[in-house]
Parts: sequence; structure tokens; C-alpha cells
Amino acid sequence: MTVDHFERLGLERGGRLDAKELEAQYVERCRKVHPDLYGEDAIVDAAALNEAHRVLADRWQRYAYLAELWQRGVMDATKNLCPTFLAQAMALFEEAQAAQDSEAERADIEARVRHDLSSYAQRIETLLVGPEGAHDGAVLCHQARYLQRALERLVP
Amino acid sequence: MSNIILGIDLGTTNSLWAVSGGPSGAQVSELVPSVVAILPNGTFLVGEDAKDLAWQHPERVVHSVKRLIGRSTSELRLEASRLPYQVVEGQASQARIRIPLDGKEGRGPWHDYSPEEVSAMILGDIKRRAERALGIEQINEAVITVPAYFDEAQRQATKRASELAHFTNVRLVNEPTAAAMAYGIDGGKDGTVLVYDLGGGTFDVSVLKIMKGVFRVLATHGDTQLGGDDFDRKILTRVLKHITEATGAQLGDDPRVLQTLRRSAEGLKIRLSQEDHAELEINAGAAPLTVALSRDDFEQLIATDVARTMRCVEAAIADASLDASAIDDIVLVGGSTRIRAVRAALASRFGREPHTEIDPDRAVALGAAVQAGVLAGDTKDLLLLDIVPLSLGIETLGGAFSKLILRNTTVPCSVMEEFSTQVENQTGIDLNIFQGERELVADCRQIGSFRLTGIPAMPAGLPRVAVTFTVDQHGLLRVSARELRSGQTASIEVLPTLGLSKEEVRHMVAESIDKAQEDILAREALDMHNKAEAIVRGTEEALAHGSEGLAPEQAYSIKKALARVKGLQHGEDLPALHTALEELSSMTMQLADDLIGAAVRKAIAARKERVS
Repeated sequence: MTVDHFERLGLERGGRLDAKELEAQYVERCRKVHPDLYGEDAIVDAAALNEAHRVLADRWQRYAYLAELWQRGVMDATKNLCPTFLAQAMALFEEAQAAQDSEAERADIEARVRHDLSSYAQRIETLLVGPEGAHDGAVLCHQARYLQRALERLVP
Repeated sequence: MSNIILGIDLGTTNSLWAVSGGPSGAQVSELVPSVVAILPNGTFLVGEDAKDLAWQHPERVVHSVKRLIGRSTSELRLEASRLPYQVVEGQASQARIRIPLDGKEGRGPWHDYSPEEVSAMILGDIKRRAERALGIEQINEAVITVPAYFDEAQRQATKRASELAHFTNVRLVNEPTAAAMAYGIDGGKDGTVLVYDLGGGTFDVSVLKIMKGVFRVLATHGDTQLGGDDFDRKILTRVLKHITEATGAQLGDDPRVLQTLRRSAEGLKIRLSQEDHAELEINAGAAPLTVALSRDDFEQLIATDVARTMRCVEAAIADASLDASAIDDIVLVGGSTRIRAVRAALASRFGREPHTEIDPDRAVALGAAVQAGVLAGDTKDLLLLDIVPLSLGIETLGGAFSKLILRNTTVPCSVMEEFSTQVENQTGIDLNIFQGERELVADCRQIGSFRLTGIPAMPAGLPRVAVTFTVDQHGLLRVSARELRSGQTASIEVLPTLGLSKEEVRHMVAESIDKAQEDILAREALDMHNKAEAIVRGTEEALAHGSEGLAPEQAYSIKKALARVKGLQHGEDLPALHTALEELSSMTMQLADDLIGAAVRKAIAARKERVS
């Protein structure tokens, strides 16, 4: 049985995560597996711990990882998004492009996208409490990725 | 007593060692100039002894070798053109340092040294000094610091240098991280620290989070080709221009004059950290020629460099996903942080004065010693979590760079990637490893190639070769591979692109075993006799060429000191020879200065002749 990232860090499986708790657990566990203290053989465990921390520390990576934990292959299966959403995303990209010269407009769109993203996060966290929410949660993860991309265009 | 692990700061300009937790607490050595003089008979000197020979034998005195290590000649073209010694291209475009030899006893007219070998000479010297100072017969383990922004090739080369210096177990640690540990041990308080490390040849900035004794690096940035050396060169260019404008003398071609002026330029720079104004006087005949430099002038000269470092600072903070206000402390490391303009730039950006309690030249070595204590098991409560400075990946179709491990990932880390074959019964796959942040491999640095062999013969696309790329705690890459269908371990051959291969290192280590076992006293005597010979020859040459400016009594006392050295040169009385050498060296410093004056006077005379 392989240990999942949550187990490795002694955390409960879930989308919502206390950042302070994550850091504290991580630091404590580093002391138990670091090759500086336990030699070359510890490298594999230390690398796994670092990877678990890397994935869980970023909320969007954490969500995608969690969806996969509930239902393996779900991220791949939900890759194709519905045309209505894609049309909306395209419109947002164009809007972002047009707003580049106006600082006020740019800030306006940025605030809106950030707001949307945090409501996505809340919905995903509510969905990903068990395998039954994995599919819808994965769809929202993919959609959120488009919003993040729009944000990257707004704030280079 | 547990085994001693030495902390070593292998710097561009100076190197030093430190140990922590000895009977008398922490112990730090003096700064040893990272300078190696290779003599005509192939023996070498390290440190002040080597530096003393620089103006007499610029072509055989190697300084700043850290700027060459792990780099190819094509990358070093500009750098090499500025060095007084000769850099040539060796196998696979590797840089080699060509030193003239005497051609006797099987030696050729020259020998090409790899930067690793020269670094090993410095490391070996530091090792011997530490062994002697601590009264320990053999020290085989060390923590050696490298710039955080050193890439894989530069790290591998440094590791090979340590093997050549007969260290059997070496941990590489990033310099800014080590410095943070040196600061962290006393306070022990949690917080976010920015380490600004501007040394002789490299610049690093790291952002760390300290939490209950765990030092975690969040982000790092830097430039492995920026440091005090560059500032010296800018002053030197200014000085040369001034001399040319005032006298018409073009001094740029004489390596001896350049070497001496370079030292003067460094002196000017150091004085300008204390004073508003500094001058260099050159005995140019009737009236002395004065080259003046104000601190404002100097700050203008280096303004673009300082701005460059501040851009790295901003990038590191952004990579750590932090705001400048989240930085609790700023720590200064490296001799060049004594420059006022650097301190002012940081103070104005962060609205507070940086920490300077620990000598910026010694913080890194002290931190390396702290980490050595962790490795030896003496220190239980500290732990270091470092990161990969540059993204690592492989070349994919069409020269695209596919990143496998992103920069700022905590080490150790590992990534598994599957590969397959493209033709039937293909049993090998070549992987080219690159490091960098750009999209195309052409814009990144190739740091190695791996050839996977022993893949079972199968139709194209059927084998599934799982390759695991691991960056270990030193920041060094390890690759392992397995064919999943057959379960066979594919073997991996490392094709070195830069630096020495493992085989070459093994050969060199074996070859030098006898040298390492030499009696230390015999070695000391040999060093001193060699130095005496080089100084005698250099002084005689200098007297023959550029002594017109010397007052008769000056020339007389130099000749007298020279005669004294010659009398003791081959004898057994080392202390007396040492004293005589020191005396001669102090006198010949004037001779070195006068060399510049002589060159200027000669140029003026030549111009007058042309005019009349």
C-alpha cells in the first residue's frame, strides 16, 4: 500500500487545509527523514515528503490531487469542458487583452477573477469530501485553470 | 571524539576553514587567498605565497578559478580574455589553464590544468592548514560551500575537485544558506530572512524561513559571474584611461603592470568603503601622477551592477510568494557588502539596516562548520532544507525543453518519467539534460547526457523505461532507470559534457596518492625553496627591466636582500630563509609600483621623441 500525501504529512484528507498545521507537520517530519541525519538511504523518503508538501501547499494542485485520490483518472476524464464555459473563458481572455492599457479596468477585472477563483475554491472544497463529488470537483478544477490563466495575463 | 568534519568556504578571492564545537568552541581560520602559483617544475604554492608571485609571474599565478569551474570555453570567452594567465580549450570545449613549464625531467614546455585541479590545490592546502592547526593527522570529511546559483555542472565540478583533494565524504551547501545558519545559531528565533551575498566573483540572494531550528530556503536568485572582481576591473579601466589621458601611455598590454594595477584598484575600492575619496600615486618622472577616485565616481561605475543585484532581490522575494514587508531580517555576506552603495540600496528598499554582526568574510565558513556539526551528530536541533536553484529537464522533440524539476523545489526531490523507443529492437535511449528557465534547450545550459542501455529488444514504442531523476541534498542530479515490462534495470552511462569524467578523477586521485602522503615538513621546505627560486628569478628580471626609477640606495638594499635570499635558498635554515624572503618581498613591492612608473615614463619619453 502506498502512502498518500495526506497520510505522509499526518493530515486529514480534504480540500481545506490549515497552512500553519501543514508547515508544522512538514517541519517536524523533515527531522525524521532527512539524509543529513539518517544517511543516503533516507533520500527516497525525504523526496516523497518534499513532494507531498509541494503538492499540498498549493491549493489548486492539492484539489486536483485530491480528486484523483477519490477517483483515479477523473482529471483526465473531465478534461473536455462544455462549450458554454469555453465561450465565457474566451470572452474573459479578450476582455483581459483589451484592458491592458487601462490600469483601472485591469484592476477591476483582476478583482473580479480573484473573487471568482475563491468561490471556485469553496465549491471544490465542499465537493471533494468523498468519491461522489470527485467528478464535479474535477470539472471545476479544470475550469479554475482557465481563470488562473486569465489572471496570469492580467498580472505578468 | 567524533570524527572531525571541516567547514570550508571555497571562495573566488579567499578561502577559509572553520570548525564548530571543538574544545575551544568555534574556530575560524585566517583568510587564505584563493590563488595558486604553478612553478616551472610543476610544483605549486597556494595563498599569500602564491599571491606574492603574481606581479613577477602573472602567467603562472591563477586567481579567480571559481569563475572557470564547470564552464565551457565558449561561455568563458570574455572572462578568459581578461585573465593574466592563459585559458585554452581542452577536450569537449572544456576550459584548461595553460601554464608554462621548464621542459625538464619529462615535463613538457607547458601543462594544461583543469579548473578542478586548481581548485583541488586550494582545497588540499586548506585541508593541510586545518590538519596542522587542529593537530589532526587526517581530515577526510568536509562541508564545502558553493554559490546557491551554481548549476549542476558547477556543483559536480566542485565535488570532483574535493575528491582530487582527497576528501572522501563531502557535503555541498549553498553559501547564503550557510551564512543564515551562522546567524541563526545564536538567536534561534523564528522568522523570514533575506541573505544578500556579494562575494569576489559571485552574487546570491536567498530567502529563508526559520522555524524551530529548521532552516528552509524558499527561493534563491543570483548571478555566478558578478562580484568584487568586476568592480576592481571597472576601477582598473578607469585608472588606465586616466593614465592614458594624462600621459599618452598605453599600459594595457604589460601583464606585470596590469597585475600590479589590479591590486592597486582593489586597494582604492577598499579605501572607498571608509573614505569619501582615495588616490593612487604613480612615480612618473618629474611630477608624480595622481589618479583620484571619489566614492561618488565609484558608485557611478558600479551603479548598474548594484541595480542588477536588487532586481535579483525582488525576483527572489516574488518567487517566495512574499511581500518585502514580510522580511524580518536582512543578512549581509561577502566582502563586497562592505560597499556603502550596496548597504544603502538595501536599507532604502527594506526601510531598515541590514545585519552585519558577523564578519561578512567569515559567516559562510562558520555556517559550514555549523552544518558539519549537524552531519557529525553533534548538533541535534538544526536542520537545513535547501532548494534547486534552476529548473532541470530534458530535451524533447524539436529542441524543446521539458522541465522535470522546477526551480525552488526543496531537495532532495525526485521525478519519474517514462520513455519508449522509436525503432524496432532499439536497445538504447539518449537523454540530454539541461538546466534553465527558457522554453528551448538552445537557451538553456546542457549539463550532461545519459545513455540508457540494456533495454530488451522489442517492437518500437513497446518498452516502457521509467527514468527517475533525483536531486539529492547536495543539489546534485542522480539518474536511475528501469524497464517496466521486463523489470530489467537499464544501465546508465553518464556522458560528461563539462569538466572531468569520473574515470579521469579516479586516475588523478590514484596518481597523486604519493604526493598526499608526503611528509608535511618536507613539503613546507619544498614550498619555501620553490618560492625563493621564483622570487629570485622574478626580482632579477624586474631589476633588469624596470629599475631606472629606483633610487640608488633602494636598488642597493634590494640587491642586498636578494643576495641574502640566494645565500639561504638551498640551505636547511628555513626560519632564516622565511625572514629573508619576507624582507625581500616587502622591498619588491616598491619595485612593483615602480614598474608602473617606469612604463609611464617610457611611454612619455617615446611620445616626446615622436613629437620632436
